[in-house]
Amino acid sequence: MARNDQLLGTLDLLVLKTLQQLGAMHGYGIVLHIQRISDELLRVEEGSLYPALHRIEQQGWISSEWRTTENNRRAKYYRLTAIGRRQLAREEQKWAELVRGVAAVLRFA
Amino acid sequence: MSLRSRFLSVFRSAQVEQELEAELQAHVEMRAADSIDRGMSPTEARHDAMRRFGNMTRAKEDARSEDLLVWLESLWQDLRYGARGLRKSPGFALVASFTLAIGIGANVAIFSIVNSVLLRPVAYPHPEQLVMLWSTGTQTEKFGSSMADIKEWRARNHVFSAIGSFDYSALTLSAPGQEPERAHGAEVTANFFGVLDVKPALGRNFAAEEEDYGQRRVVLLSYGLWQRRFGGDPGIVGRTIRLNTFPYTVVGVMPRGMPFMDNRQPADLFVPLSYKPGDNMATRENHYLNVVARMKPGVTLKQAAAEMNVIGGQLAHEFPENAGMGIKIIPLEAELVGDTQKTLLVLLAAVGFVLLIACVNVANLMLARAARRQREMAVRAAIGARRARVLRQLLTESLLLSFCGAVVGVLLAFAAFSVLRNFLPDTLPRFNEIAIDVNVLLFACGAAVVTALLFGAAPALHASRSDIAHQLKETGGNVTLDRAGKRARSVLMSGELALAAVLLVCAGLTVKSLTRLLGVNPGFDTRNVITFSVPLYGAEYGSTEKAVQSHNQILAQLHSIPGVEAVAYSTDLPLGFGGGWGKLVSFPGRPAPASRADVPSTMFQLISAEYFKAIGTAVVAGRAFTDADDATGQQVAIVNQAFAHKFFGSANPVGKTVLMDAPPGLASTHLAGEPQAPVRVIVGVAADIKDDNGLSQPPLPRVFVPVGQAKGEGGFRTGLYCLRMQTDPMAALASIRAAIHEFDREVPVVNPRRLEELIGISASTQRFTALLLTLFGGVALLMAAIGAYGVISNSVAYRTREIGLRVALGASPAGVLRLVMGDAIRIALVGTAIGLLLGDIASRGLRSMLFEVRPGDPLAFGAVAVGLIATALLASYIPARRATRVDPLTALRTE
Repeated sequence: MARNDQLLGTLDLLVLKTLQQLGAMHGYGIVLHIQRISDELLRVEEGSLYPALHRIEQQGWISSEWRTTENNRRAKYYRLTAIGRRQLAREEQKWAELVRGVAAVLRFA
Repeated sequence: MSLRSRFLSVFRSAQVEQELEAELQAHVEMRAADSIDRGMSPTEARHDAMRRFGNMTRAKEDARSEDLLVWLESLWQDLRYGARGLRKSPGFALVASFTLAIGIGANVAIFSIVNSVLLRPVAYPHPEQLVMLWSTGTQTEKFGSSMADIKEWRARNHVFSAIGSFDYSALTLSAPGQEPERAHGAEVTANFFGVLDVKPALGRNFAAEEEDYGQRRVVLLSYGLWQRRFGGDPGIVGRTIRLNTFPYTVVGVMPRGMPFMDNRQPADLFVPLSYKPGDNMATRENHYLNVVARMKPGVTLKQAAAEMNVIGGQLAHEFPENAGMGIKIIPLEAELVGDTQKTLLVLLAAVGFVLLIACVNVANLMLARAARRQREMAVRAAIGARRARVLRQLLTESLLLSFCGAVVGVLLAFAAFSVLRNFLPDTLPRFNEIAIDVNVLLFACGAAVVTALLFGAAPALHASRSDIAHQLKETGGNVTLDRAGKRARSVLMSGELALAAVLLVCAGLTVKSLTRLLGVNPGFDTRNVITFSVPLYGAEYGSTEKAVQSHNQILAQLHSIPGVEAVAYSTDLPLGFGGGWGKLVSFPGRPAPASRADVPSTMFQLISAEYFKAIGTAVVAGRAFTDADDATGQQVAIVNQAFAHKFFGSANPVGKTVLMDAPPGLASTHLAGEPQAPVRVIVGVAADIKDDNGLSQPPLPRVFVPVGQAKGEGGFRTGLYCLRMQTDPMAALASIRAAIHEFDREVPVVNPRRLEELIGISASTQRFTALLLTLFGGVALLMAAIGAYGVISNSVAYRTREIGLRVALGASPAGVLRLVMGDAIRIALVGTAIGLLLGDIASRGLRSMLFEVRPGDPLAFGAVAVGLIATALLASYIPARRATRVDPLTALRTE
């Protein structure tokens, strides 16, 4: 469960960033990508991912369309919208501030 | 907007739902494919993929569900979602809620009776302090008390704040230019309403001196009579009305809706109970008064019983007439319920079974629906809904259904009740008070909740447990049923048949018992006989002799009506409708019993000459009375067979003598100023007539004496008439009224009815029970048929492929029919067998309510078995027929 707790509040950021890096991707691909890039440190649970994707889509940060995968399967692909790109920038900045703040507290002896 | 509600709002549209499902399925398949590539087995890979649908949402929901507002919000969502779901399958919703409506409605109707009769407290202040006091004897368990005894009880006890008493009574209410009316009510002691603690709405209660004979004639009116007869005249108090041709002053009007005792009889008015000095009725011998007493605060029933026991012992010792007598104390509430409790509880149990069957049927429908909704449930589980959450959603739907059922059910109960009212047994106490009140509505709500849990729990548990991966793999909209579901439905179906069998067995037994009861020879011939009573209470009928003369004149008038075959009057009617009286009897020449307590008693009835001819009873030995049996001739009597058998064994009693009194030397019932009872010669034996003991019991010994010979054996004014006509006797009612009015305009014709009505009223409790149980049994059978149909058609749908394959491989339609019907036969046999076993146990509880039918009656059980199995098979045959027409090509192409 520890992994999940780490992800609290950061899932949106990870999803948006992944889509920025990959262009368009389906849910499963997003899970795999985050896992691979983080050297298996981060694992997104499917049960959290889909609600998050739908919520983000509702907010207009991403859009979706049905496409065929390389293995000839039908899957729903998500891509960043313009608003999503701005949101990602905001989230990245917030994250950086959070990391700086936490690091400062940790360094204080 | 919370994440989840927003998510639900997305989830709500059917298109989005489908899309989401497809998306998740794609995900699972991709994950599984990758895992298989890495060497995992396909099954393991799929499970692994499913397991990954994770827990974060759950954690969030856990945190949030502690918030009541959120909980309410989600409940509202569940309700709306449930309502939408039901709207989407209107057929299911209609059938299910209608089934529940019948089940709940029947329960509400019966409960409303139980509520009024058994549960609602008697409507007097502190009813727990009120008791009834009865006399007990060596031969009779419980009977009325004498005024002389009541006075002793009042003087000697320390446990009651007051003892009052009453006698049911009827008075002729007349007014110039109006049809005389028989007003029912009671003669009450002056303190009576004080004991009940009821004050008149208008005017005042009786004063103590108004008990003194001839002081003043005063009357208290009931609210109903005041409204009906006097238009609610606010100035009624002080006015004079005519009762039994005497002027009575109205002193008050009782409150609206005041119950009078068990409310079985209407109570229009009350007059003081008073005796003229030396009145026969006030003696220690005349045990006819009902006694109501109020215990002092803090006195327990046990203490009161102990003290009355002592007093009863004292009186038995001090007064020879009281030898062998005691006092019995019964709480008023228990007294009023009487023996109806058992009947009502049986009906309540039966109607509970109906509800259970309805639950089983709806549970079956829900299981079938759950099978159709498995994919929906799987998707919900996949996106992170916890099992408990899904369960709650399903139960909310069940509650919604059962509350729809309850609302319709209560309406049905209202409707049913107006019909049912006509069938309520005349012996049902407090039935005027029966109404649908808050208790009943609470009961309906409770029934709805319990019902929802009963029919909703199993299908919900089953559905929420469904294997997500498996379900998501399923393609197409095929209606399927997994093995566990199919077994569950078969078990439910068997259970339903078993419950129906129990009900049908009980219904069968009570119906057979009723037929037996109605088939009993009552000892009289009801064809074309009308009965009515003619009370003679004017000053001109002041004695029994004068009353007899007048009745004889009326008799002559009635004889002249065309078409009359025979007409007679008497002091009693069959089946206890006349309220005849008992007397001590002794046999001159036989040794006297040791004490007064051992002197036997018998029923006693005065009859005019043609009585046996008029009611159609055979005189089996000796002769009937004739007009020659008058005061001057030999004093004679006719006894019934029960009397002959009890006192003469196999000997012929004709020619023997009887005395309607204790033997000489033992305290005589003779009153000063009245002639001694004469020794009578028995001139005939009449066939037994069913009496107060009812149709099911043998009658009591009885002595008949000619009206003209009554001597020191009790008097009468009211003649109970029987008139045998050649054709329909009710057609003669106008002529009868005219004949009696010609005699005296102020004399009413009371309670005219056919003789067979007496039998109907006498058997009304049994008829009511049999009618309702049959009704419940019929509903159960119908529901069982619907249930069987549902289960088998579902099984056919489930096995379409298999059947198609068999047909393709050359199975004949008959073979397919056998295959499908095999299921039905197994279910029907198991269910019926269990039901008959349970029915055997249940019917033992009915034993005391059955007449000439044993609880294990083979005919009833056989009929139920055959009927139930035939019904189940017939209901299954329709879907089974459909299976034989399965086109193998279509069937095989479905997957």
